[in-house]
Amino acid sequence: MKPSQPFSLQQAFAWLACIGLVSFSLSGLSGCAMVKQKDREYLADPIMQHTPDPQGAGMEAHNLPRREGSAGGSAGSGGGCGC
Amino acid sequence: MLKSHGRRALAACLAAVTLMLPSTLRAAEGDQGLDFKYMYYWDKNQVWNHTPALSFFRKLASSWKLQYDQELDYVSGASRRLGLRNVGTLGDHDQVLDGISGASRREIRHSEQVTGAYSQAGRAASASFYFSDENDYTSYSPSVSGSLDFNQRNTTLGGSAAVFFDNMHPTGPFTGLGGNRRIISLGASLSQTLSPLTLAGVTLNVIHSSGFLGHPYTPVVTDSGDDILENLPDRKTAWALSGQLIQGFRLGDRLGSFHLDTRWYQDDWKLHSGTADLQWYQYLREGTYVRIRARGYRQTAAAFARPAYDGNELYRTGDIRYYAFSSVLLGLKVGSTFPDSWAASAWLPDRWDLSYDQGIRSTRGEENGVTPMFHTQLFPADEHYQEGTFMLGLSFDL
Repeated sequence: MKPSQPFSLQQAFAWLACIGLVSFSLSGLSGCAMVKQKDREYLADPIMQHTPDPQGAGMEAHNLPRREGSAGGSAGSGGGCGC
Repeated sequence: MLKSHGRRALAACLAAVTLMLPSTLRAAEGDQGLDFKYMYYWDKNQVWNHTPALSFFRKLASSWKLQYDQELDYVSGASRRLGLRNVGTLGDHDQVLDGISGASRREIRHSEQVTGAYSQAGRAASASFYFSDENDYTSYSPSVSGSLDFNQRNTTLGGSAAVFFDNMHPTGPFTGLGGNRRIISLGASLSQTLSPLTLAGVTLNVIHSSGFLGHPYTPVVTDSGDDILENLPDRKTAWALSGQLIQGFRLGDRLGSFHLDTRWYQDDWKLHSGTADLQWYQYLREGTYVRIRARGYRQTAAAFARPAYDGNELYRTGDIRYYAFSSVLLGLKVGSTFPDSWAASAWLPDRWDLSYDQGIRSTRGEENGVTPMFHTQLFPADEHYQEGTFMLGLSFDL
C-alpha cells in the first residue's frame, strides 16, 4: 500500500494560521477569567509551570521516543536517527 | 567510536565551559545558574545509556539571556535492536562495529546548543543553534521562537520554527547507504490562566521531513526468509496537537498540582498515536516536593508496515517505530534544597532532584491485518519489554 500524498508546506502554514485565529478568538473570550497580578502567587511556583524541569524534560524528549520506538510521542523531530 | 572532528568539537565545547566558570562565579547572585543532570537508561536486553548534561545561563542585561546546553551520550547498543543478548559477546569485543547494524555497540555521542533569549514586558523571543554528532549521524539546527502576553498577562500566544539539516553516513558494511534529510518543524501555542490555581494550554506542531528518512540497519524479511533493505517514502508530514491542564490545590498548608498532558499525533504514513501523561506534584515541606507520574502511549502501524514482504512492494520497513504497540510508564521524583549555609559558596549546589521512571512496552497483536515483525529489533520474548530511566539533577545559583 502506498502512503497517502504528503501535505504541502502551504497547507502547514494554513493550519498554523487557523490555530492562530482560533487562539485569538479564544483569548478574546477569556476576559471573564482574568486573574489579577496580586492573585498570581501560586502560579509563579515552580510546580505550577508548564515545564517545571526544562532540562530533564528535554533529555527525556530526546531519549524516550528513541528507546521506546514511538513515532509520535514527543515534539522532538530531529537531532538523531534513533538507530 | 568518536571521530577526530567530533573529539575536537567536544574538546572546544568543554574548554569553553571551563573558561566560563571562573568568571561566572564572580557575578551577582541570580544573574546566572548552572544545572547538571545525569541520566542512566537500561533495558532488559542489557542496553544502557549514560548521559551527563549541563545547562548554563547568564543574564547579559536586564532583558537578555545567553544559555549553553551540552549533552554527552555514552551508549552501549545504539537502540534496542542491538540488545547485547542478541548480538553476541559482552566485554571488550563489543566495542567494534556490529555486523548486523553497522553501528558501533559502544560509542560517545554529543550535542551542543547555544541560545540567545530576550524577554521584556510580556514579549519574549529566542534564537538557538543546535549541533549533534554521532558515529554515523550529524545534525545542525537553527531555530527561533517568540511569545506575547496579553489580557493582563493571562493569555500567552507563542510560535516556533526550527529547521534540521541532518546527514546519515553509515560505516562498516553499510558504508554509502546513507543520505541527507531535512526536517522543518513549526509550532503555535496558546496558554491561558483560568484561575489563580488553573492553567491551560494547547499547542499545534507541524513537522515536514524530506530526504533519506530511514536507515539501513533494520533489514526487511521477505516471504522467502531473505533480508532486503528497508525503503521508506522520501517525504512525511506529521501533525501533533497537544493539550495541557494544570490544576493547583492546597493539601493542608502545602501547595500541590496536577498536570495532565495529552497529545494526538498523526502523519501521512497513516500512523496515529495518542499520549496521556498525568503528574502529581506535592510539597511535603518548604522546598521539598515529590512527583508521582503515570504515562500511557499507544500507536497504530504505518500504512506500509507488514509482517513480511515479497520484495516487490514500493515501501517496506522492519523498524519497530512503524508498528503498533502500547506502553505504560510509571515514575517517582523527589526534589529539595540543600542547607541555606551552602548558598554562601558558589561551588556547592543549591537544589537537587532524583527521579526514576519504569516503562513497559507491549507489542500489540494483529491490528488491521498487521502483525509486528519479530526480527532484528524485536523477538517474541520481547513482547513485553521493560526499561528504566534514572535521573539525578544538581542546580547551582551562581
